[in-house]
Amino acid sequence: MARYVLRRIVTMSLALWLIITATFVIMHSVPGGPFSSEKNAPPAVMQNLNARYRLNDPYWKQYLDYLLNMARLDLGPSFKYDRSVNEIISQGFPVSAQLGAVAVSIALGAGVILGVAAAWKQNRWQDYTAMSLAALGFSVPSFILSGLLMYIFAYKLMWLPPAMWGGWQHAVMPALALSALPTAFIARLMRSSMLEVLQQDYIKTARAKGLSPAAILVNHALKNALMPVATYLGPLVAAVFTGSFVVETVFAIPGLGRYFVISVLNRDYTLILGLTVFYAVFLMLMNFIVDLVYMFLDPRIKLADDRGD
Amino acid sequence: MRKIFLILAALLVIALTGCGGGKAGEAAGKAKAPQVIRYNVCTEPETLDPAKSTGQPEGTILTNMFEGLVRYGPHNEIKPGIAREWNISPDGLVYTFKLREAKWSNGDPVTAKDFVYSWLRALDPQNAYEYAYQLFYVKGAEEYNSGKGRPEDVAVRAVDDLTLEVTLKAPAPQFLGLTAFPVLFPVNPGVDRETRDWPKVMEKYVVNGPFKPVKWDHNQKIELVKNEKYWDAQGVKLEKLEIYLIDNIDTGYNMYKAGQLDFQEEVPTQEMARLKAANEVKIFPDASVYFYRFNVTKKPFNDPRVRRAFAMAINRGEIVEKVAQAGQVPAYAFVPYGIPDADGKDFRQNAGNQFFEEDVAEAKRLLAEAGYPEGKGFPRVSILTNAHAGHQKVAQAIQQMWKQNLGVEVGITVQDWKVYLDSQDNLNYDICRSGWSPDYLDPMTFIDMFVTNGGNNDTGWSDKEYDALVARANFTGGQKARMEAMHQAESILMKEMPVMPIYFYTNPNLIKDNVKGVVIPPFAVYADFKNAYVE
Amino acid sequence: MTGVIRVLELRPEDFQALGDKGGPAEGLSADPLNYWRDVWRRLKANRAAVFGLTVIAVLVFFALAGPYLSGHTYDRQDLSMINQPPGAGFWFGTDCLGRDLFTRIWYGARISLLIGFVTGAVCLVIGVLYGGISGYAGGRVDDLMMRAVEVLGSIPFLLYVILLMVLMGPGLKAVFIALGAVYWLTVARIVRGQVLALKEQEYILAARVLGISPWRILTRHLIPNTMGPILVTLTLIIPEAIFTEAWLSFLGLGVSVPKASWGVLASEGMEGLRNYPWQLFFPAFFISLTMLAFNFVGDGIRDALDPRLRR
Repeated sequence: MARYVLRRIVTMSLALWLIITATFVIMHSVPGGPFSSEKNAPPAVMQNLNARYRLNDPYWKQYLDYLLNMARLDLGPSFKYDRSVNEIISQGFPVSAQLGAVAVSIALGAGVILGVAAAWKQNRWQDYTAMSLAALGFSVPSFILSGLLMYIFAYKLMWLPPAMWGGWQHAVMPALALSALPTAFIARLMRSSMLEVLQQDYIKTARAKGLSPAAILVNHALKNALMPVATYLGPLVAAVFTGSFVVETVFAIPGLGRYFVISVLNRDYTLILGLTVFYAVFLMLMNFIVDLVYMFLDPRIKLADDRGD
Repeated sequence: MRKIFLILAALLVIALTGCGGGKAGEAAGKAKAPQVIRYNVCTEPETLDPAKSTGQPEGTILTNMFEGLVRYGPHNEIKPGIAREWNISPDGLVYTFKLREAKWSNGDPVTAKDFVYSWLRALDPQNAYEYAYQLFYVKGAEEYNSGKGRPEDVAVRAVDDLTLEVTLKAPAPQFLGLTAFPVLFPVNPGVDRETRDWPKVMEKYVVNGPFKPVKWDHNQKIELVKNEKYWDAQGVKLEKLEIYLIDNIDTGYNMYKAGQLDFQEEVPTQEMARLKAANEVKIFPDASVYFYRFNVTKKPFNDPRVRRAFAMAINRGEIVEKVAQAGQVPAYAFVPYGIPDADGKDFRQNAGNQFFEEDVAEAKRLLAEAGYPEGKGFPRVSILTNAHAGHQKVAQAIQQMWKQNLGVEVGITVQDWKVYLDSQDNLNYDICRSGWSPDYLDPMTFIDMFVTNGGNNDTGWSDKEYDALVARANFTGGQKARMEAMHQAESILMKEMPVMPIYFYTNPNLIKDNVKGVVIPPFAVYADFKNAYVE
Repeated sequence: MTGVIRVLELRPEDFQALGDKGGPAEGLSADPLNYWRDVWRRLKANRAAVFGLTVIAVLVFFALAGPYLSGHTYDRQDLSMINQPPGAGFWFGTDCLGRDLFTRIWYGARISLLIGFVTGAVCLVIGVLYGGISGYAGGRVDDLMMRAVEVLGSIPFLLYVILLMVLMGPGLKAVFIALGAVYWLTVARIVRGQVLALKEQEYILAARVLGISPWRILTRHLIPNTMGPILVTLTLIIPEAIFTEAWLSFLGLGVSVPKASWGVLASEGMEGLRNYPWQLFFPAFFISLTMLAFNFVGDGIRDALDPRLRR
């Protein structure tokens, strides 16, 4: 196990280095720099700006400097905002993560229940109802869902505040908007894998032994059926916890999601790299945890040992 | 006994206003409305460091917190700010400002030395402020900023605590107005030396203007309260100004409708028709121009007849009325309304807005003359625009007008903002959507764009006579001769048409009726709340 | 394949490896032709799936013919008729430039359906193979292949879309590549997770013991058994791809105006929600209908492919 973890850390570091390198290269090959604007400043001023932000250095030096700073956990100053990348992440991430945690909980809870119900009562009204609900979650894009929620609950009914971050009332609509798609997805995934599991021989055996349906469901079926959901949870948590551009701009949430887009549009080099690194590390950690969970859910899965053949 | 009654009555009022809300609250509010305005500036500011700021949202927030040597009044007139009076030498080069006895919000006096410190700070090449060039009118400033001169040689001098003397390198009548804007604002030297990050930390933020900041919640709002130390604090009626930083206009509109905002800088286009009919939107002048650039370095737009034909073959009235919808003015000239001429009247009104006419028959004739009768054989060209919904709509309308009127198929290329800027700078386009808003209220900010190889020319156009006229205007002290030269330059520009004006912008705002006294300038700053109040 | 499962109720230790001569085991597989005929028969029996297929067929028909039915063209503006409600002249009303929404919807259907189909197909092929190989190989290979997925998934999407647009010029081709390049990653991870679990099952062990080649095990035994999650993932990816295209268009990275996909029409409709609700209703309705149809068909195929549902 220790060897596996160690190997995993090594490959993860390697992957991180590749990500930084690729992002760095793409970032500098895209037209437009952080200081280009509609009103072009005189050359002397541009010269000062480039010197100040070290854009005059050769690329290899900028690249090495960046890696060195990153090793000291310093992601540098934003080129656009008067804040450091570390500050932007530490201010935005907690908000996105809180909202994300609510959304993932909703998605997981509702999704699993809907999926299990649908599979248990396959091709009966429970199945159709659950799957129609799920289809609804798939079919409405988040920008429309966000807009509609706001229109109905804030503009027409005035039950909830339209936007901004504050008490729980402010989290209701954005959390719903964020969780709709994952809920639907988990429900369908759950149904599908539950159906698979329910046909396995050990379930049949359990039934034959006269175990109660509830016991079969909880003790035997659920754990195995959760596998695909667990796979999906890694990237899902990584994506949802780091915020959504659409939901955060529509509901004026001061999270991190908006910066993933704004930084690229502004060519805010340090912010692009900083967010990429942050997201990558987070994603890889989540996937790592998922793989560990795999082993827990299904002890037969051996990630650690290399096959002999 | 009467006392008890009074107390009871008072309690009753409190109870009613407290619990009842609704009507009782309104009734009490009428007597004395709380002096708070909630204003959405529609974006997170990039910085609150005056010298570092470049955009209008930042300019707006800063103008409400600081005061420069002068300040713009409600009718675009320059009024004394920290400078009580000033004197300009007859050659237009030496400005002597007499300062009033004003205080910083931490109690320090505002002195001439503060201005010297701040301007040198803004010019310091180490700081690399993008808008440092706003100070390049000052002798020695450009040299210092480009590393060729010393700070001591920048001609800004504190004669004594309350006298500031500035020497320009050439006459520039627009200089006085520039002192009303952020880059030329003073900052508190003591605070700046002690904590370099004061513009980020609201507890340390020291101002000399009407309001001081209390809290900055990123992407949410900035809370300002009245600055009691401001020299004109008596004139400030607002107790609190909440500046919201919500970039989604639709969301802001919903908040406005839900009573959570009193004032929003932008209006959703698809609401415009209804809001105008209901008289809920207020439209203010904006001294900016919306235009298309032609790439004159290659076929077909290297031929002025083709450019002219294209300019004449669209219906600006229809674009303004049906597409842009905010009461914009069709433009048949380049310099917008709202900019004073030598005689104090309006530059645009003096010269008229009629350098050319929309005339499809004449446009067809010109196109045929250029070798494309009925648009036949016209090369495939494309309108370049950035991905803004409004710009794309205008481009589509114009695309169809050219197709119908000239028989020319024009494509539309949409690019992401920075790629678009790059294409525009490198003349990597045929026709390019553009806009220009002034840095100061003088025609020069529009005219000097198109000098040969000018940094913002971006059309490849060059004209010796035009260059000579701009040079003459730049080195003449007399306003009359200056303006005359710029009028002539504009008529050359409109004859040659490297650019095709479309409309003069307006500035539509959502403002509740009980918000009064806000000054909405036509450029640089969205709104000045110094004398604003709630009725 | 099913034959293998049925026969092997025994323990792997009971078997002896036959080496390379896997002949006898192959003979135990069911006739593939019969299998697909069975699948189709079961699919036809599923009413929801038939409904879904019919809807998709109708949508495809209208996407092809719709733009010619109303007598308007998708880009023809009439500025005197902006924001008109649905009526005799304009069946679905007009947009903010006075264009016929009916024609625009069907023109947009071409773009959106194409994006859905192409992205779906690309993800299916690349994602399934990649994930299958990674999961089956396991160990170091799996580790490396999955880190590669993480690398590709972490490079800012928008950044390389911009790069693609600059390199290839704006248009559908760049959009396909951009969307295909990210969405197969999800499929790969899901398939890999399933294969990891399935390959430890007895029948796979048996197949290995019988000396069936890894490629055959993967394509004939493992991947068919992961079809459920794959199809579910596809029904997620198709709408996401369609919506992502809309979002890219709004950043100037999609299909250039006046062409507009459903997603773009819907987000234009959002602006008019309070005053001109039909501008949102029609695109949103057809998007939802399409997704619903895809879902039903996906479910149907899943059930039809599942040999254990055979009666």
